[in-house]
Formats: sequence, structure tokens, C-alpha cells
Amino acid sequence: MSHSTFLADEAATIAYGQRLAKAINSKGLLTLSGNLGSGKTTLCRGLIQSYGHSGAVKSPTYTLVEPYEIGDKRIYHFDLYRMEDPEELEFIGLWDYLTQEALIIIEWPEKAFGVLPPADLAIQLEQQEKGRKITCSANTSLGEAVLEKLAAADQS
Amino acid sequence: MTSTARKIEYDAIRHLLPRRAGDAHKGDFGHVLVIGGDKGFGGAALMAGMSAARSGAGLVSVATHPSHCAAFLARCPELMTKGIEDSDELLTLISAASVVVLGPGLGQSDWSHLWMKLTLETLSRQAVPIIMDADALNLLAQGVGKAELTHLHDLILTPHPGEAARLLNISNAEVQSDRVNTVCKLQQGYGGISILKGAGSLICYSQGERQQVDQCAHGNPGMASGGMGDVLSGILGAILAQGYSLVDSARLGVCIHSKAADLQAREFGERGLLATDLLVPVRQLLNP
Repeated sequence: MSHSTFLADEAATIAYGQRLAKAINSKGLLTLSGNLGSGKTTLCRGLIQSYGHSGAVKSPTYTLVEPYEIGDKRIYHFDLYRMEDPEELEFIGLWDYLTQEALIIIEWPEKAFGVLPPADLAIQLEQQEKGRKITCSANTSLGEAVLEKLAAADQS
Repeated sequence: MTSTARKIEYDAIRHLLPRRAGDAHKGDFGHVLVIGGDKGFGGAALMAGMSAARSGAGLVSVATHPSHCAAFLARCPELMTKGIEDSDELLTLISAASVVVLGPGLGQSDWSHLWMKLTLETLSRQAVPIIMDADALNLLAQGVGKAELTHLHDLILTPHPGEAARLLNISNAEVQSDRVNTVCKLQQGYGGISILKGAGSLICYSQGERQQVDQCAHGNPGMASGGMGDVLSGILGAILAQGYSLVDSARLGVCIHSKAADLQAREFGERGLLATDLLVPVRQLLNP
């Protein structure tokens, strides 16, 4: 099951992140795929800031993971762009994060050497002539529930 | 494929440098982006930026380690210095650049690997010419960015003999024993233009089916001091940014750099010549 839409600009991407945040309710595994500059981090910004985080949201390309604690919510934002070795995933303790009650967002999941469990929601951002096409695909019942909430919000 | 080198001199090519139009604005003269200056190697990126500015680029940005920013601002406020902490910041800078100079002080750390990878991947989709120098060449010799490089054709590599040896996986002695052959092999392997620095710097580029090798008639041993290569890469970037062809930029840049060193050495001696001593004469030579 999947849901596609067109995002005209940065503001639209952020707004979509906010809608996603409401539908997800801060639990699950999200993967984000798309070329450099396609808006992955912008989407994360919309998502994470709408949960109440007031600071900047940057892509943790160098640090690999950025944790957020907002009230009782826990969000872990990963960027695997510079992964060169499956061992590095061990070093950052990816598995420990996955077992927690948290929202896990992983940019560049393709770099995880195929060892990630299926994401609840796999998000793809494609650059178009102007703007982006975003496609969310559900791989689990949790993911499907999120897509249903998104579709319902569309209609209201 | 080996050709003999043809000597080139500043006086023979200075006619390529006309006066500027009265109604020119900085947009006409391009935007050079220097990417480098890992912790501890800031000077190289600063010198590349300064020399790009002194060589007439309309705008010069320097993407470097955040710890250098205050110092760069104090030394050369004309440079737009940005401390890079995440990939989006670098992407934004690259999208505004008309020429990229990658390598001065880049280092070979994780930070360095990442920025080089990002830069080359982005440029393989954005047609912007690139000059690769110093640690960018050392990283290239280790395989970083090799795949992305096959998509880049507006490319100038500027190795000194040590870097050339690493790129070709041969010894320094082998490089120096046949410099013409070395520069031809480099150009054949990487495309674009290869400049092998050293006494009588060599410029190799393809002309139709064959390779042409030009040898700079200028230069002196006073140039054996830190930063000279960084100044050259800035000069090349700036000339390219002002609209010259890749070949003309290489020929002009190498000649002006070496001739500037000769002017300084003649007046004050070879020993103790600093890279930044070249900045004033470089500017003069660019305005004949």
C-alpha cells in the first residue's frame, strides 16, 4: 500500500513532515531515500520540529545519528551516507536503537548493507523539474495504519 | 602516445587578458568555491581562496572546518568563509559555485573523505568545472571518488611529483625520470587536464586524437615552500571562473604563477619566498 504526492517547494515538504508526524505518533521505523538535495532532511525537520523540538534539525552525515528527547518521546535520526563498512553499524549500536520504543528515521537506508528490518514506512523523494515527488510505502500493519490516517487527513 | 613538450611563456599568451568592460559586475567573473582546510590545515584553504580573489574571481567562498572561520575573516574579509558541519551546507555552496577547487588542506580524515565524496557525487550531476589538488589527489589515489570522476570532464588535476607517484602507483624517481611520460599517463587515465608540477611544470591535454604537452618556461627553486600549490589552484580556479577555456586557464595559470615567483625571486631572492608573496605580482601579471 502506498501514497504519493507532489511537493512544490521547501515549505510543502515541511508541511508534509508535520502531517506525517501526526499520523505516526512518534513510534516506528521510517526509511528515507532520495538523492543529495532531494529534501530528506527538510522532511525530517518538519517532522521532528512538529513534535516540539525547537532547535535546528541537520542531517547527521558526519555524526551518523542524532538523538532527540522531546518530553517522553524519543526520536533517533540516522544518516548512513558515509557508511563504508558493515562494522560501522555495529559501532553506532544500530540494533540497540531498533529495540527501543522510539521513532527511528534512517536516511540512506541503502547503505546499511541489507541488514535493516523492513521499515514500517519507506519514503522515497524524487527530484522533478520543480519540486519533489514523495512516495510513502507501507511494509507493516503499523505503516498501513499511518497511510490510512494520512489519507483520511487528506479528505478532511 | 608520448609527445615532446612545447615551451610556453607568459609573454606569448598575455594577449588573452583584455581590459574589463566598463559595465561589468561581479557576476561576470564567476564564483569560486574552495573546499578544504581540515583541522590543522586551514592555511592551505585560506591561501587558495586569497589567490582566487587576487586572480580576479567575482566571488570566492571557502568551505572549511568551522574552527577556522574567525581567523579567515580576520585575514581576508573579502572571502565568504563557511564552516561546514553538515552535508546540506556544503550542497548549498556547491549549487552556487561556477568553479570548485577541491583539496587544499582537505586532509585525509573521515571529515575529508566525506566532503570529497559529497562534492564529486554532486558534481557528477551538476556541470561545474573542478580543480583537484593536494589531498584530493591523495584520496583519489586511495580510490575515493574514482567512480564519480569518470563523469567529470571539465577537470584539472595538479599533482606534484609525490602525488603523481601515488596516483600512478609508481615511485617518485620513476615520475621524475620521465616527466613527460608521467603527465601523459595521468591525463590519459583521468581525462581533462593534468598539470605535473616541478621544475618546468608540464601541462597535458588532449587535442583531437593526440595529447599535447606544454612546458612552462618560468619558475625557480624559491617555489619549494609550503602553500605554492594552494596559490596555483586558486589562480586556476579564478581564471576558469572568468570564462576562459580549460586549456587557456591551465596555460595562463601555470605561467603566471611561475613568472610571479620569478619576479619576486629576482627582487628579493629565492630563499624565504612565501606563497603569499606571489599574490601582488600575480595580480599585476593578470593585468598587463
